[in-house]
Amino acid sequence: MELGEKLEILAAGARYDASCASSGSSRASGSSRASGSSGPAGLGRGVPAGVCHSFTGDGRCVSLLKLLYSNVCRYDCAYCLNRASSDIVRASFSAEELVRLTLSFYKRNYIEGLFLSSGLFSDPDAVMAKLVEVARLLREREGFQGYIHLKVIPYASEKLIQRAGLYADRLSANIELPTSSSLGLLAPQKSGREILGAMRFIGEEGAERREDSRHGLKAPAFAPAGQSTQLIVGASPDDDRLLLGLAERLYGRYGLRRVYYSAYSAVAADPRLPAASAPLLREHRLYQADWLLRFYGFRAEELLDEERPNLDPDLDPKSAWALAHPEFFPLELSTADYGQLLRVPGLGVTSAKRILGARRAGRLRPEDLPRLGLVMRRARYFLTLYGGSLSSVAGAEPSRALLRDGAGRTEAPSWGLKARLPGTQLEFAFP
Amino acid sequence: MSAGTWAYDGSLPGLAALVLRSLESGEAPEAVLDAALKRPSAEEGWLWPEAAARVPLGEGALSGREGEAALDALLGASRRLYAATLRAWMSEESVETELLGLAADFRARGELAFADYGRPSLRRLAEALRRVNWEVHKLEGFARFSPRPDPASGGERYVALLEPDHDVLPCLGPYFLRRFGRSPFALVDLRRAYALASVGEELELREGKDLEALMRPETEGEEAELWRRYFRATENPARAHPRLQRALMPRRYWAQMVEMAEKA
Repeated sequence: MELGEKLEILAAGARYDASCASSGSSRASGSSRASGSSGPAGLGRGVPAGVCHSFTGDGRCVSLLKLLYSNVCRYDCAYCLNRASSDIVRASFSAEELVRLTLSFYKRNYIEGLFLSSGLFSDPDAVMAKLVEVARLLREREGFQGYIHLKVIPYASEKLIQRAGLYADRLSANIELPTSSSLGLLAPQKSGREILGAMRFIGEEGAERREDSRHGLKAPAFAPAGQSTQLIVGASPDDDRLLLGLAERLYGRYGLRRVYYSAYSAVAADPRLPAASAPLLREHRLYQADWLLRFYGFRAEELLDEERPNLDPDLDPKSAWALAHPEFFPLELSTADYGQLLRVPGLGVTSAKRILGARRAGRLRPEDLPRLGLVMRRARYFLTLYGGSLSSVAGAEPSRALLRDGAGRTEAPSWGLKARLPGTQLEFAFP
Repeated sequence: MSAGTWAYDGSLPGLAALVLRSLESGEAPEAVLDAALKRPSAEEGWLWPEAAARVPLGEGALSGREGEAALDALLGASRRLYAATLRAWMSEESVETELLGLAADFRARGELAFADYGRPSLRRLAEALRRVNWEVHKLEGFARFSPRPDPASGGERYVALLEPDHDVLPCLGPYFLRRFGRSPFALVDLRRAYALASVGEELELREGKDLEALMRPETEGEEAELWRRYFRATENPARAHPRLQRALMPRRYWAQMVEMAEKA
């Protein structure tokens, strides 16, 4: 099979993995990789923030060459295009082909680096070793200093994961489904415990290296850009509360940098799977809620609880929270602190920082506020400025109708999911 | 032209000298004239009459050592002000007046001057500089290089053709210098008819015949076609959102991008 055809097949196979958007790394260029680099003068360097080299038709950033080493797979996960029982055309790269593609695309500024995953074409260690070999050739033989993101194959040995971390900027192992029951139904050959174990190992390795270097011990960095994972949304009846709760634990206890939420895309007719694709709006709301956890100081339990286990499709999660907590408002703009400002609908991180700066520089006027970045259409009901209300209708109470066009709801939103799997508490035991 | 007009020769050190003047005196003019755009005349009451006499169009009143000294002095006084000056100079919009207003304010209030979004002149400046930054950031991603024969070095040089909205090559040059290591490359600004080419670890200006020499036909290879095939294979038609795609990657860049050129 010629290279172009292989490229098309193995790119299509990789496109459902969203766990790769960024390409930022703090790895110092020219730092000594494992066992000393004797390759040619280094090509490329890590940049602190990712670079988007192009954008796909749905607005996703193209930053890395995202490929499968091979789409031959022994597993039969119900939701996956490449599952063993599917009749797609199978192909595999050689390590040399991947090295050549990465280097030539990098020099032409098409990519920041390589994102490499694979189907299970052999036992897990054999597959993982192939991925590590590609990374090793790039770093040690070619002196490549650009970005490398390697997938961690489930059940791969810790020794191989360790080697992977020496060459890669980021590692990821996809959880895909948030409970052992849904994983057991849709991907019985995978084990949630195993994946979490790998994540914990990666987290600990990274922490150990950073600790060593703080004490002055020379140790090559281990996956300096950390780890990420992906959750498939809507392939199982698991609600947003489960997904967000799991994400919060992954950020807190495992130190993950990013959790990606991928709306289930109905590619396979399988009785275990929903007939329809999950709504993209649900994915969007989850990302908004994820941002609230990471940058706005919210906890998952503030956004969702047993009575309302799903995010509201009609309102962004911060507005929904603000409506449910009128006791917190109105906030006085001239005295509120950063954390309080972040709770106001229509007031983001950038606006909050600008307000703090502008406050020190002089007296704020109501007409300045939109120019500081506030979305007054939402924010005005929740703020006062030097005691004066900002909403044009004096004393108007914020309501769903004012914050968003949409019919009022009486029952809790549910994304149209009817069935619930038994035992909906999180069933993974987090050691 | 009123006495409240200052002039400079259009060069970066010239603008830096004006900024330093504002910084030291705490004064800012009502208007700033970029002499490279207009030939100065004796009747027009320049603040620096000696500068007007010395500046033929296109040449710097501050050059060589003097120019470097002005830039170093500005960098030493305030990194943020230096960065703002560089971007104001690169910008096609005329924001020198606002920049000097910021410099005068900086003398009075230090870093607070950058935070006072209540002042319309600061907002205008910040927005204009943000557009320059955006252009730099976008072109770091969208610049597409192709290998061409380079007779001077006897090998290949990776060349990118660009049509930037602002004069951003001075910022892009160092970025790609770090990226390419020792591989020779060049950035060509098609709109302003000049290029920056790497020679070892330095960047050189190329114009006229030297510029044409950089734009020889590409070396044959399948990499561009492979990239196009890869890009098409990552499409997910179920999630098509062309408006978002154009917002993040405006159409004006497409002509110089391998994977978008056919749709430009």
